[in-house]
This record gives sequence, C-alpha cells and structure tokens, in this order.
Amino acid sequence: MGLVEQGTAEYKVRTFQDGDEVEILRIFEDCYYEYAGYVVRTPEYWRWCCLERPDVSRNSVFVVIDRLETPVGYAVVGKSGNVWELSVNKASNVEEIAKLLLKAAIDFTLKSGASSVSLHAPIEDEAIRAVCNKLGFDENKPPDVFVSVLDFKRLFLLLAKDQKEQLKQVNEDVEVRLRGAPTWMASRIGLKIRNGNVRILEEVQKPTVSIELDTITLSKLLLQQENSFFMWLRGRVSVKPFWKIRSVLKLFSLLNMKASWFTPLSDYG
Amino acid sequence: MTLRQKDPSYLYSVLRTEDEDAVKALVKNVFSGFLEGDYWDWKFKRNPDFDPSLVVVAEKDGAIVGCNHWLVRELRFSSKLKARTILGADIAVDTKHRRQGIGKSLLLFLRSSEAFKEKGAVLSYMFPNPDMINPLYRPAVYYIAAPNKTTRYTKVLNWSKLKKRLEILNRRLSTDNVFKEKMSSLKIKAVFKIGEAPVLPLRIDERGVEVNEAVIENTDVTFRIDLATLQSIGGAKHKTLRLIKAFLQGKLKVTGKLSTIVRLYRNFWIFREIFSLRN
Repeated sequence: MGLVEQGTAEYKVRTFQDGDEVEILRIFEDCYYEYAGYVVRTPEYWRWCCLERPDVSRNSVFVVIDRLETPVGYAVVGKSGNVWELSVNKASNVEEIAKLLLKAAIDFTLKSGASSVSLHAPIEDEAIRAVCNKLGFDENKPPDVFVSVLDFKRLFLLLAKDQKEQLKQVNEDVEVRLRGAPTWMASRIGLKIRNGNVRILEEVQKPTVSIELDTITLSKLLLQQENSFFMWLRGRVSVKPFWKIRSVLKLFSLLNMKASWFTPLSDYG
Repeated sequence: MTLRQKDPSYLYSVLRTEDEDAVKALVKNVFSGFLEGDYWDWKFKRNPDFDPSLVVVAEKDGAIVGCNHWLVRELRFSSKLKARTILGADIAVDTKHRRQGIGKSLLLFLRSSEAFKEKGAVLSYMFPNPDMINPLYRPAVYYIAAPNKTTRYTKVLNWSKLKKRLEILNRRLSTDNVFKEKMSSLKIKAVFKIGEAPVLPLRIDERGVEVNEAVIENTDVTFRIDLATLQSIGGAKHKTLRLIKAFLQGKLKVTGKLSTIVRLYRNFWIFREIFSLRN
C-alpha cells in the first residue's frame, strides 16, 4: 500500500489502488448529487477523465482512509498543478480530510515542478473554503460554462418530471411561439398540461394561452437565468390573453432548472 | 455527408480516419502548450464517449483548416434527473483562415446533421474562450451562461512559470527598439503582494524584467492586490478602467512616490506583458 507521510490518528493518506473506483464514485455522488451540470460518473468515464489523463498517474491519486481502511475522500492531482477532482464523504470530518488531501496535492505539485495548485469546489462549500483559507489559497473565478438548448420539447418534459405535484396547479393548453427560431428547432411548441402531466404536441388547436418569446429568453427562463415577471414587463415575453399572465408566471416558476451548476475541473477535458 | 457553405472553396464533412493526423496537428497548433503531446488521443480516441460522426472538419484545397469536436455526455440536472447532452469540445481554425465564417459553419454543420439529431440531446454546453461569446457563440447557436456556482481556489507556490515567461518577454524586448526605448525610461523596482502568493519582487529597466529578491530591500513601489481582482483586470475589455475602479474600491493598493506611480500608470503595457493579461 502506497502510504503517504501525512496522516492523523483517525485518517491515513495513501495512493490509488485497483478497486478504489467503486468507493471513489460513491464519495463523488455523495458530495455533489444536489448539483447540476456535472457528468454522471461511471467507472469508465472516471477512469478516462481522471486516471488515464495525461498528467495523472496512480501515484498522484490520493485516497484518505479511515481506521477501518474505508476510503472517505480522494484527490486526483495532475503534474500541471490541477487538482482535477477533490471529494470528501460528508459524513466524515470534511475539513481534516480535505486538509490532508490538499497538503498531499501541494507536496506532489512542488515535486513535479508546477508553480501553482488549483481546484474547483461549489461556492457554498464552507468546509473546503475554510481549509483553503488556512492553507493560503486565493479564491477566484473559474472559466464560465455556456449552454445552448437543442430541444425545448425534451427540456420541457424533463423539467416537468421534477415538478409533477406542483404542476397540478396549472391546467392549460399552452402554445409557445419562438421568435426567430433557428433552423434545427421547431418554432411552435404545444404543451397540454393536465393534473401535473405534460404532453408535448406539434400544434395546439385551441390554446388557452399563447406565449411568444425569443430563443435566448426562453433558454434563460428555463435555466433560471432570468425572472419571467421582469421579462414580461420588459416586453420580452408576450402573453395572450394577457389575463393569463399569472398562469404563465406560475408555469415558468415551476419549469426551470432549480439546481445550481457545479463543474469539477475534470469535466473540462 | 458533405455540405458546402457560403464560401464554396471550403468544404465541410464528418471526420474520416485519414483526416486524424491533420486534425491532431491543427489542434496541437491552435492550443499549443496545453497538455502537450498526446492530448488529442487521450481526449478523443481513448474517450469512452468518442464518436467520429460528431467531429466535423473544414477543408480547402484538400488541406484541413478547421475542426470541431462534440462529445455526448450524460449530465446531472438535479438530484433526481439526468439527461443526455453534448459537450462542444475543441473548435479550431487555422490562423490563416480565420474571419471567413468557418467557425460558424463548423458549429452549424453538426446541428443540422442526422448524427447529431439521433443522439437525442437536450442541450449542448461548452467552456468557450470568453472573447468568442459575443462575436460567435451567442449569435450563431444561442449560447447563454449556465447558472454556475463553482468557485476556484489557487495557491501560487512559486514564480517559476512567470520567470520562464519573462525570459521569452526579455528576448522579445531586446530585439525591439521601440520597447527598448520605453523600458529605459521606466527603471523601477516594484514589489507585488498578490493575495496569499509569495512576494513577487521585480526589477524593470532597459535590460528587461527580472524577478530579483534584492528589490525587496530597496523598493520604489509596492502593489497589493488579490488574485480575483488581478484576474478581473486581465479579463476586462477596458483594462485601464477596471484598474482605476479596483484602485478606487481599495482592491488595489499602491504605495510609493506619486511620480513613480504616474510613470507606471503611463506604462501599464508592461504589466499586461508580465502577467500575460489577455487582450
């Protein structure tokens, strides 16, 4: 077992061993399942994005184990100084484990000759922030992630799955008209909403409400980057008949991506 | 499948096995210095999700001058939901063929292709060069910022990377007479205290820019700034305005003689060069 010098009475740091993938994937999911925007880990994907990455070796994947030798945290460190992934089991002492992993990452980076160590973490993760502050890390902005909707129909259906109960408050035949829709996208989408179920139609014969907006505005509303009420006030969303605005606002308050995005460095490719 | 776009001299098609070496060379050339060596092989050929029908190439007179790679990825949308998406990976256009609409055609070609539709993806996402959002990605394919709640932590361990960059800069400065003249009027010993990073002492004069520990004892001017502010100045369109804003907000503190500070302000270009602040 490749034990690393650092450790405490409770935890030890070692390097990667075959078979660790199962626990590593479990720790990763436990850490980030409430977020959106990261690639769902399979053993094949994890091996490719971490273990087989050109600047990573088995000796630069550090695993913290507890007294029962169960992995409780890990860090995948590249010779470039990038900590491609760092995850810690929430049920454990996150600060202590993260500190051990980051110290191992710093030592490895110094030996490999890189000039800095970088990692990504969710903004809300106060435990990681506290450790990083103690170890002299500076917080800065990661590269932005940009999104383009390919299929609004599928996206509506997907978002509706998450909001079935709440959608019972909206029973409408909705026609969505996309201004300046690109060629690969339908310019009209019909939504038949009954008892929390949403059915997509090519065309709604007699819509109870018609919404007209452009592609960017609809994308922003569904990704919760804009408020539907302000968009309506600014004339970016038009609703016919206008007294149906409450239904439309309710619909957009339900049909949007509620989880924040977290992008691990290893997903950048 | 092949498709002719606006400029008929450029031909767009899906990647063929015989194109691989040319595509690799193009990507290596455009993204030089990034994961040198077998980057392309790892990222695409050894990727479990690689699908050659999602790589499009642009060619002119039989030579590959542009390429765009897409990768199918299952993304989490919430604790209960996951969906198929497509990552817009590396888009590269040979420098000699830029501003011909090739990037836009490469983006649009796949979106209209059957291979792309068959994947049944809900959305595509990417980590683009910020300078290309407004001129290309937003108008061509409606990209918007994702609700990203990711933060980055960086610990600068030493200035070895900066020293290497300064060697290149000094070589360039020594051969350019205009630069030389500007440098001879500078002659400044500056110390940078950037966040938690080690102190950076710089000697700037007609010989060039050098990291010099002796400067700490005999400093003309000291800058205190955090990494995020330095990064925001680097990423700003109007860097000088952002610099003044940071100064007025107290995020950039400068200590030294007023005449030295004014001299430095007039020679802001040198800091762009030193810290490689993006234009």
